[in-house]
Amino acid sequence: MYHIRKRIGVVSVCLLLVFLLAACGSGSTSAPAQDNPKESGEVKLNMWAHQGQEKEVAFYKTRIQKFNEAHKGKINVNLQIIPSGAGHAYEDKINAAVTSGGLPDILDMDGPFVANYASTRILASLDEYIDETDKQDFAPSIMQQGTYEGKLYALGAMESSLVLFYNKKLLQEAGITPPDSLDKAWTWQQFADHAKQLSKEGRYGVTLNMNLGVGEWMTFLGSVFVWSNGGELLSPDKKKAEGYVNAPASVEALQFIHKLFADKSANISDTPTDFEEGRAAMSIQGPWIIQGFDKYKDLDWGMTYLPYSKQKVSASGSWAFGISAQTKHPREAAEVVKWMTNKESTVEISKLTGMPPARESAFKELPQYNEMPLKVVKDQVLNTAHARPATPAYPVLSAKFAEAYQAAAMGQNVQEALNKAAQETDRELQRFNR
Amino acid sequence: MRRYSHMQTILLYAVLLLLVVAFLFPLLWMIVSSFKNEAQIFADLRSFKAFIPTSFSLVNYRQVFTRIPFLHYMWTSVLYVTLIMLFGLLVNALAAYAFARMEFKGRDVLFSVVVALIIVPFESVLLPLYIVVDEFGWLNSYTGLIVPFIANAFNIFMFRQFFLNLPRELEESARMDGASILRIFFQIVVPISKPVFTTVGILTFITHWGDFMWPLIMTTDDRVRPLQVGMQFFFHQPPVQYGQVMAALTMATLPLLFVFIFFQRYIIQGIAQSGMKN
Amino acid sequence: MSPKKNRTVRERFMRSLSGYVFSAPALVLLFVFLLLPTLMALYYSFTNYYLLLPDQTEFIGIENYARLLKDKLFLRSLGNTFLFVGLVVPLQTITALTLALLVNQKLGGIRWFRAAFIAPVMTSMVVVSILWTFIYNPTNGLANAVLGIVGLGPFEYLTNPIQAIPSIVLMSVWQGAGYQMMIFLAGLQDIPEHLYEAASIDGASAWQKLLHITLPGLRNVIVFVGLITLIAATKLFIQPFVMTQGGPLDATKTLVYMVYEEGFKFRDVGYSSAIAIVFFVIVLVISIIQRKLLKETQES
Repeated sequence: MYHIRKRIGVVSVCLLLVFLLAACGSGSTSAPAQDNPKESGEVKLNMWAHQGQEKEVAFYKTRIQKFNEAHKGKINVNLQIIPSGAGHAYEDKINAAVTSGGLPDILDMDGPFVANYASTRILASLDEYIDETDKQDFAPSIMQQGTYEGKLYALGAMESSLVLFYNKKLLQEAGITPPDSLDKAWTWQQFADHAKQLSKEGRYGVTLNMNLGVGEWMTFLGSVFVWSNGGELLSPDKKKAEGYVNAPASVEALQFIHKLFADKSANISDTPTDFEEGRAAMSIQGPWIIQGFDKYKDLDWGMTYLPYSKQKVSASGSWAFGISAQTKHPREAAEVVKWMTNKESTVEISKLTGMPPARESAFKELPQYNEMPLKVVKDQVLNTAHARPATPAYPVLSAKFAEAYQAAAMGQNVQEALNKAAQETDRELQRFNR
Repeated sequence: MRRYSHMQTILLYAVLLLLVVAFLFPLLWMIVSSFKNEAQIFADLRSFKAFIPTSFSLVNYRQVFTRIPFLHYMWTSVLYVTLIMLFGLLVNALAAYAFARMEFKGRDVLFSVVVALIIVPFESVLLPLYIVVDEFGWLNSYTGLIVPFIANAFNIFMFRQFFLNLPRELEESARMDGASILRIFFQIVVPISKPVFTTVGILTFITHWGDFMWPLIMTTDDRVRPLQVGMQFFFHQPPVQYGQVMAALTMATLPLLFVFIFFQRYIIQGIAQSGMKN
Repeated sequence: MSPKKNRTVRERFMRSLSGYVFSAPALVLLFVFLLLPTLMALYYSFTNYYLLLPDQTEFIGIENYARLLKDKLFLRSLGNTFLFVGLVVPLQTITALTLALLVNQKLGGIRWFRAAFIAPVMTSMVVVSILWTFIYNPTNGLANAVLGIVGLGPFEYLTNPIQAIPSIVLMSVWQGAGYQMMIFLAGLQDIPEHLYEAASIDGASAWQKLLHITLPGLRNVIVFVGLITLIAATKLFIQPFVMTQGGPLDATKTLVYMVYEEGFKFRDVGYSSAIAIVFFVIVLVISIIQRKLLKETQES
């Protein structure tokens, strides 16, 4: 009797294991959704969006929900929010999914990565689904970032920029009046002086948000300084980095970054909420940060133009939607891209997040962009925006440039670091120039 | 038995206490800070208040639950690690038993291949493994988290060592009685091999509980994302707040500490034996 | 043919068959998920396999290996890995041994002291790395705050290229020493008590007992612990990934970090595989030395 009971025990444990394995096996992968004609005529699509700021994510969720309601019985989109983590985590995820059939039907990506995804045939062209007249309405910088070798691959709902936030109280105390129009923007020298003046025990003048990690952020920020100083990251035909990313203009730009740290105007080991909590008087950040400010009731913030060297330049390029080359339903997927970038979407995301809209017509619906502080963003988007270079070697260029930026911040040999970036980028370009 | 004078005992306790402080202060800071708000954490930093609960609020914990599917991460980790352990015990013990007790052609060659494979570090096959798992269509799935790690050359080796040292008589007499090999294994060998099963099981659990690289590259959504990777993402997900991260870290740590307190004897034996057997 | 002989032939066949059946699941899994990928890594290391363009893969001979020799980043990573190993192995082994000697005393509540030293082992490396990133923050971290009270510092820890690896070493020792302590403890308890008693009768001091009884008795265990720590240390990845992303200035890039970065961030499977093979060879050499040493100690 004892033995029989024991055997039943063994057998049932084995059965349980087999059952569990089967159960695990079935509930897996997020490959493009299969439509099941027997069930209904509804096309099921999978979509990825990166984990941005909270309100941005909420926007993606509600807009897709509305899309599903409006297309009930025809298209149903399943949205997944993918954490973007530090550095390149979201891009790593896309790599992971690409290899065979793991991609969703629709995905969003940071502007400069479009070229790489287009050249590796991750993305399908949007050209046949988007009207020419509709294309006219998008900001030129948005069209530029979504286009590779003459074809459109991605469209976004929002533009971006880089601005100088300041703590009103602290600047007033120091008797500093920040510029309120583009032509009064500070020069680098003025900016550095003010930052130094604002630094004192327990507080520093400006945060460059080093805590965001050695990744896209540093390239987004650092490249603006290079361009403003008359430099470039790549040759005009985008086939060469040597002699551009490591040219004197770039070296000087990164040396200026170093000066901010050397002066103790900026802190190399800053923490994420230094500006919000008054540990930094100014912050160079993107407008996406605004949506988080309302949690800090004591913070009285203002926004002004980026300082400049030889020319006024601001950063541009933001997350955009494209359709996967693996999707079985490109037409329906393109519908989703259109929906996410239509006027209503662009107006709404802008209202929610403070990011500038991607469509020029949307600016008209957003009167707040005619007044300070958001006027800063509009002025910069329409007048000084400069896109990061569209090159399939962007992942390498961005990573190596970010490393050079960090090297500069820490007072290392800037020329050497940028030479390394040039060399590695050129090697990577060879792969695509063949 | 060594005996100590009072002075020596006090000295010994003092040294031990000092070391305990050194070993526990980071964890103490973590737990205490998880109940404070952001400003309080920074304000308390420069004094002993850093280790004292100067304020108590569960806001950080509530925030963690609204911002990430923490319990799901936890469940995923517990599930996949447990399954690796259970399947691993079965598969590796069976193989080890075959190598220890059965005679078949090529046995010694196969076993020496297994021993040679102990050396191969997982890190050196990262990308090819990724490509193989992808071929099976198992990326981003529990299957992909579990199956590649069921068979373990070192565990087979440990099991075999143990089985070799078992007296043969019990098995022989059962065989005389006409018991099948399967029955001999499950009813005679397994029950008397409890120590090695416990050791291997615990070591497997501890090892895979800390897994990071593989789940990092092969899981792409929260449904199958284990705790370790979920924590790393939360750590970098803006807005990063010390208090919230501390709350998440505390929750990730305490369950295992409790498990440790309850199973202390077995875990200690397990770790200790991993050393002795070699 | 006698029925009895017939039976033994059948039985032998059955036993042989069940040998294959019993070992097959493990062998198949090991082949598919370990041996095969190893061979694939070797093959890829001679190609220009780009993760996103698999159909353009070409055989390029030893180009990847030639590139390794000229790649300053690779040499740096190799150096960083060795530096970490060189610091962490002795430090962790000595710490663990000291702790084991201390908690091997028969004192009231010693169980709880033991538990305290193992507590960090029970947290995972990811959790620990996140926690210590906060602790090491130079301006708003606990480490400088505490050291400041005793008048030390401030240090820059992870943001300083020279301090970064030692900072990671310190944290790793803190996290891992409890584990090795347990192994040492088991070894200590295997040393016969009568040796100490005899020494006491001879009037030996505690120090002499340590030198002449404890350490020689632990020799095997020390070699074993040192070597497993060594192999684990060569795989350093989580700490730099979570805490520094390989920075600052590549100061915490390691071999395994490069395998990950070249393979997944830059999608260069070929180059990544070449690094993986080099890493494999290093581990292989260490393992062979380990087996030799263990054999020697067993014989002696």
